[in-house]
Amino acid sequence: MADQRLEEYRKYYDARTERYANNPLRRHSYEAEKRLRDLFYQYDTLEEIRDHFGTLNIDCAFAAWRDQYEMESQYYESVEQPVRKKGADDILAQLPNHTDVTDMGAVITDISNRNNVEIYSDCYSGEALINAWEQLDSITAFTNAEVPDEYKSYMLERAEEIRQHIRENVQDIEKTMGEWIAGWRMKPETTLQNRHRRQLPYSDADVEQHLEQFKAITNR
Amino acid sequence: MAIDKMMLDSLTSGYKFYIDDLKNRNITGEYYDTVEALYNRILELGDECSDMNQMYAKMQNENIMVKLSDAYTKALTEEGTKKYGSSGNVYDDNYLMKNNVEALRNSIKAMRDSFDDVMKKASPSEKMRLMVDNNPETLIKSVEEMIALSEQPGMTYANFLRLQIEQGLDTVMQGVTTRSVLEKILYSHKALMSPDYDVRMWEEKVQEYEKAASRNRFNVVDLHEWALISDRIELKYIPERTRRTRIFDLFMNILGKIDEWCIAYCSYTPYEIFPWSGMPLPDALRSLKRIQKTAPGLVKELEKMLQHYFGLRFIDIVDNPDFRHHVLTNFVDESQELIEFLLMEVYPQCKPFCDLPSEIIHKREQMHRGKREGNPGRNEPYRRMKRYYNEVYGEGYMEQYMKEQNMSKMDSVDTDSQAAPWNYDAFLQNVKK
Repeated sequence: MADQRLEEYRKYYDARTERYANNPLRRHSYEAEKRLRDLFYQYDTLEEIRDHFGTLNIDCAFAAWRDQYEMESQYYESVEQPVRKKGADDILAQLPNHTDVTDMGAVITDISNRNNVEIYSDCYSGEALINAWEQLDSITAFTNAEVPDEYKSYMLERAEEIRQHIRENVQDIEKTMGEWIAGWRMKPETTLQNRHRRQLPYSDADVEQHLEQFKAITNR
Repeated sequence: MAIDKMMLDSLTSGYKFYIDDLKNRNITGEYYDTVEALYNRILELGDECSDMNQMYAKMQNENIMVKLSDAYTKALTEEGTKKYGSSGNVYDDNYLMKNNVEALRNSIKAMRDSFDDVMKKASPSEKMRLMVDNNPETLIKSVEEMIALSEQPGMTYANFLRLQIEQGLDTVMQGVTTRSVLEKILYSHKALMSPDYDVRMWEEKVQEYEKAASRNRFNVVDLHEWALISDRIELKYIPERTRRTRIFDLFMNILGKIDEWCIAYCSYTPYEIFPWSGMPLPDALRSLKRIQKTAPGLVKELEKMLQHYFGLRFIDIVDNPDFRHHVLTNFVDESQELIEFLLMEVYPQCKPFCDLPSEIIHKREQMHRGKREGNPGRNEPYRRMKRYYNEVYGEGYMEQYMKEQNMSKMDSVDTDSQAAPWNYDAFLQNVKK
């Protein structure tokens, strides 16, 4: 016959398990918590339970991480965000290699920090064309506008000024990212990936044409 | 150039905490030495680097933040093990309960101390804002509820832990996004008259939060799950937002060029309108002449883009939902009279190699002299902000904020426009005649 203290602990571990019940996104936590709870029903004294505790508590912490990063991995897959998904996948790959919660916490922070750099790198490349779109249209407007002959050279100079701004902006970005990744160079074609492409409400032909224009100006 | 000392101090003081905390606890040994060595490396980098970006990059590439936090945690764990043995050996409910409650009491003190610190440095308007946005008392109330729970007669440690879960108190310290936070943001978008897609997006977030809460046995929304739900909703609105923003920007770009073309002909422009009024007269006249000759060609090119990208003509601006919103929220700088004039009289003349007829120039000059170019309701967005922020942060907040920003004039000065107020229905009728 279990004593009252054990009964209370059983109810506590019931509540911990119940918190994750019927939530497919927290299935590892549910299973780990359930294993821990089952231990409390398997023995009739807390001393016996303590002797068989093993790593069940630590397993719960690892299960919580597994749920969290599986959730992120699946989500980023579904919204076509492979760079962010890579961060989650890298953490998932490391989980089986560690047993200490503090060590794993440090590994997660390290991977997340490195993934943030990859995300910045991806955004700088993927959003370069998006941010320069209106400048590119201005170049087209200044180049093609019908104006009296005496103003044509002025219009072409303005177009060249805009090109120069675009080049300087790319150089500034490469200098900033170069501090994080030595020799980093912008890859403007990253815009074509859906995660960036969906921010451009234009036809594929227009995007391709602007991309070529951007690459020709920046030599990237 | 060295990093700004204030920025560097703000960064290093965060890491100095690790050293100070270990010293206060009289913890020494291998892990303490590592913490100290890493902290010294941060100081060295502060001397070596020329900007914060470079500093953060070097810290990241040397993995300093992770190593430092790891060594600090291990120093604490090692000390705990020395004092109390490994956690597997501790099974004393009274000890655990006492420790848990002590940690809760310490967290209350830490929250109050940190808030008092911020308040001491804050300006009067910042204090009003902090009292609403960052006041820890709501959180403290929940922590006090947890402490009160622990003090109930006959409360045991196991029951204390269970009740925290069942009452959702265990998630309080994680700073979970609550429904009320989402509702406040939604309310701000409505009160400040944000575009309809932003209002719809926040309405959807509130609804989805409700759904997520209802799926949980204890009506709590998982923090990580919510971040992803919220992200998915934001992604959903990107195509609509970007398309509408690009269309609206093109419309306004064309409208601005037509307006500029018009004033380039007016006699008052070189003397009264910035930037020309600030230029030497010959430069101003040359610049205005250039606009007269080049603006129509640019307008035609932008119109081609509007047609090519979105299948729209410039005159479709009148039916554009974002232009309508721009007017109805009084963000529009121009009076109805001026916009109608630009659309119906100036725009038809705006063709390459053409000049603006003198009677139209004269009309614009009359409008300028009569002070009928500006939107008389242009200060309404400011008043709206004032109503909203004073309601949220307390009466007098906005006035105090504007005073601190040296913008007090905005509070009393009204637009001096003599134009009739906007009437969008009448505008539609007039331009569609």
